[in-house]
Amino acid sequence: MKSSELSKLSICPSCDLLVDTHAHCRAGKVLICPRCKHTLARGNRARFSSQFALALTCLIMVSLANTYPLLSFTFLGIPSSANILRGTVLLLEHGYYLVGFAVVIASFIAPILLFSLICYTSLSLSKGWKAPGLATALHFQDDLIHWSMIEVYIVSFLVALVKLVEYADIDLGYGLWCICITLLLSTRLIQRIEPAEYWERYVHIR
Amino acid sequence: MYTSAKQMGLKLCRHCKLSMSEEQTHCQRCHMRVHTRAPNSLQKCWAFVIAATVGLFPANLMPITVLSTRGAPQYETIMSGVISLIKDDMVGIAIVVFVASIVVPVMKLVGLIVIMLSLQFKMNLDNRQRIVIYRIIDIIGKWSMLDLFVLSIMIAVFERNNLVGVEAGPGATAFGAVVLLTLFAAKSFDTRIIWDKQLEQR
Ligand SMILES: [Zn+2]
Repeated sequence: MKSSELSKLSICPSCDLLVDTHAHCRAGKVLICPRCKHTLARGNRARFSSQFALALTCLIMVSLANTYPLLSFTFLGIPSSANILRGTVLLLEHGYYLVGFAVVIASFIAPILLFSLICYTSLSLSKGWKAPGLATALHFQDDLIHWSMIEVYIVSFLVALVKLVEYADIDLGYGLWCICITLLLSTRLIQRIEPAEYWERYVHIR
Repeated sequence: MYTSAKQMGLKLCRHCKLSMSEEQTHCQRCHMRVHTRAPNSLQKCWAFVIAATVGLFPANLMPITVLSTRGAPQYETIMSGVISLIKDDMVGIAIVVFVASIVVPVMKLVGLIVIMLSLQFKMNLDNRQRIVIYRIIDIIGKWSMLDLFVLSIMIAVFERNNLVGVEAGPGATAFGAVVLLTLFAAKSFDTRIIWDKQLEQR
């Protein structure tokens, strides 16, 4: 089969069905696999420059979330505060390496690295210059999406908060608002990432 | 009738979603190795599922947190933690913790076992039902990290406190291992083999 014929056909990554995209795909329409209902393509394409702006905002917000405490309170006269990293540092100090690394990857390393990589790839692709390590960055970017668990972290924080309310008066810190904003923005950001689109553009500038 | 790409001698790069003919070993767009199906997907998935099932026992029987109030250390397993939450009139939180740390891992393992057994022994299960089970597993998967996040927050909060101390217990490591193993199990399962079985049967 020639490559020109191949480009009109699309293969569903979830069930391996051959779909004739030429007949289906129109701008603004969502293409869904008729056999397994997997979303094959979204019609409206995100611009790389707007992806860059969104990813940069996420990166700034998540950095702020890590510098300010999530909460602070006074328990029997002892002031205390908590931020995202402190708990994992203590877990690692006490020898709980597996738990410590899992928590720090899912709540800190993966989101920060993901946003940085999207910034890097989106900027490079929108400007059309071939940045070093672009292919590696694109591969890592797709893998990291599954390891960023900000939404789980926020719900965990609420659970911890309800447990703590009975002990003392709690002041919510700026860190909490920053992480909530990060969640809202990053949901939108990740939703608009279409790996195929990034790779198509990558081939063009190569 | 539906035609799979495999029947036409075509395959898809899982990384960059480029279609190519079966003879090509590597993707010309992203340079990765491309397989028609993920190699040994069922065996890998079984290995992770069995390891995770074994890990469920220490994860649930050993203490996940150690509370020290007024000197005497108090060991809490996942279940005793949930029960003490109910006793403290925090039923909502108890349900959240119970669902995230017990229901979700067990459901993931049962779901994957059902899908794989039904494929291997040709049980009466619709392909649509199999993929729906898999997608639910995929979505709920990360929520089992909840209890570990809560643990890390509680440890940080009570760090400089002489009256109440919170520490991790050996069950936390086992539970962390179960969570990671179930995540790997779901990832290693290639959903495309669900429809392959149908082609062989015909
Ligand atoms: Zn590829």
